[in-house]
Amino acid sequence: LFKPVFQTFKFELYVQRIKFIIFSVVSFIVAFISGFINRVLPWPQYSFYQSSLWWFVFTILFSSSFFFSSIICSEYKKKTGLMIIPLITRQELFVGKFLANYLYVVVFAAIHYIIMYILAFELYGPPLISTPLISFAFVTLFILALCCLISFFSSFMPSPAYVIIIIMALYVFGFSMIQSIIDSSIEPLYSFSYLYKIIIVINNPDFSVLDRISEIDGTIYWDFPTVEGAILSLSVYVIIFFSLTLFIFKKKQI
Amino acid sequence: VKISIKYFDWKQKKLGNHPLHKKNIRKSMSLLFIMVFSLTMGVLKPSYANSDYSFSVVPGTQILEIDHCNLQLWKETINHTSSPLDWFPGNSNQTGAQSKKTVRILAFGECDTYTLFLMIYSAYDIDYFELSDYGYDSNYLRLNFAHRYYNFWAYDLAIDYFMMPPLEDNSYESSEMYKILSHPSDFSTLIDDYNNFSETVNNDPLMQSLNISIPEFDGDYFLQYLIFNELATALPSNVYLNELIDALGCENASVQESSLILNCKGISNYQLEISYNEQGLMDTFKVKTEDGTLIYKITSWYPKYVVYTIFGIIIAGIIGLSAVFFYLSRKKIKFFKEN
Repeated sequence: LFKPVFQTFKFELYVQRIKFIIFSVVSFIVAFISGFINRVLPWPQYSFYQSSLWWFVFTILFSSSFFFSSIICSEYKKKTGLMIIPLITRQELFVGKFLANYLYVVVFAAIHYIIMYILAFELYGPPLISTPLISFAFVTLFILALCCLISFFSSFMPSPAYVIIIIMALYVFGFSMIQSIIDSSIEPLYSFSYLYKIIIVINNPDFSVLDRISEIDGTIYWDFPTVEGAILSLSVYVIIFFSLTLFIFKKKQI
Repeated sequence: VKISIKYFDWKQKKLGNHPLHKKNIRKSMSLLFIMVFSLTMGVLKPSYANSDYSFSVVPGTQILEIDHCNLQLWKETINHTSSPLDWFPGNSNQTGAQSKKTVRILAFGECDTYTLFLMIYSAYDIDYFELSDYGYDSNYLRLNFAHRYYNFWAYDLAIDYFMMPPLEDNSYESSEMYKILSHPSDFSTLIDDYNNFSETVNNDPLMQSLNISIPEFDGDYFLQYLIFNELATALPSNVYLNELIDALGCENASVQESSLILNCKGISNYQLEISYNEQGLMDTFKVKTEDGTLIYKITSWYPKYVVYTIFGIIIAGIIGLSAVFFYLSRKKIKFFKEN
């Protein structure tokens, strides 16, 4: 079981290497420059991580979309599956490709965190706080859930471009539209934009005592999820969409 | 290798290739490099005020460390009851103790005489509220010294006082906005105004009857106050410092390169030597006896230089690896061509 998965994993790493290098270089330059043009230093140290991670979600969205949007649909579009699938099972092919792409996106996120940490040392000096490590753990889970969702769309969409558009639209408008329809007393644990907030807020060492809910004119505003809520929601996303993707890929005719 | 960009030619309704010449690539790369370098090294810095000097303080952290502390000699030279704690709060009398200073915000602007008088009040422990009670308040100063405005640069500084390492995060004991004048020569006008003001207050019969007086301005004393209140300099430091000590009328101060030297009198004569770094902030602080024996020394370093070293190693590593890959691929191509 593991050998074909590993071979696919290796092959996928090789195929996607140029994409990874381009993304990494861009990330490196953006993080490097943004760290030097600060005229006002965010204070205290955790605010620097929070401001640095605020827009990073779009980088995660773009990189995950570019790596995962073609994970299944390209097999059909380019008819590559016809040549490969008889040699290995579809599950093995999917798992191998998924792991390789996931590794790239996580390494890409890790580069951002490392640069962020180095720049924090430059700006604030020792000691550095350890909360970004917890934030990074959440990022890896967030990416996993996001990749499962993208793979799910990729399993039935005709082209990677449609997948990218849907994911972006879902993140930018979709979840907020659902949130406006549903009763505000229900915590939006289904929303990726809401779940991402824990990655930002958890950098605050006083995270556990912060108020999560605010109420204005009878409307409840959810600021960020709990650790348990975020882990549970993201895990549910992973289980449901990974299984669905595997199921669709197995049943789909070439 | 020919590099080209594909584009759609609307006239001919077909895809075309626009060749990228090596010259153009080099030009673009050079421009990109200059921009990145300028941004990172602070060449494209915004101008803060109209001055012959440039204010080069940037947000970031400086670590100060007690490098040498001879308490015995301190007490014998300066004062039996004094110690470094009088000048630097925390454990500043222990060799190896560290302090952290973080510049958080930069600002510039114009202030009036009243604002700068508050600085002099603070230096001489003058009770502002006592003066205001008898009419010498902000309105009095603004009325009598109207139309006098001073350009300044300012920086907000959070300070962790001296402590033995490890330092703590977010434990700063002081956070304050410090100002320096864009034109240090403006101090002479300010001092004239202050001396006129002190004469008025001291000659006021009501103030005399209440036994309230304010001291006359002493340049050396005020300079020492500024030094222990995070005096920064604009660049070039030596020119700025020279203009400052001239304007303050200091008799016991001099400037050597980017160092300010203050001759002081304690039990015996001693010297304060403060050198300024390329940002215009204090780099080293030394107290020496008259014959040059070191009594006390503070050194400083910036974590950013550690970061530059790390980035330097990373970039050198990338270049090295690229060179190795390039060499190996060339070797492979050569091998295939030959066989």
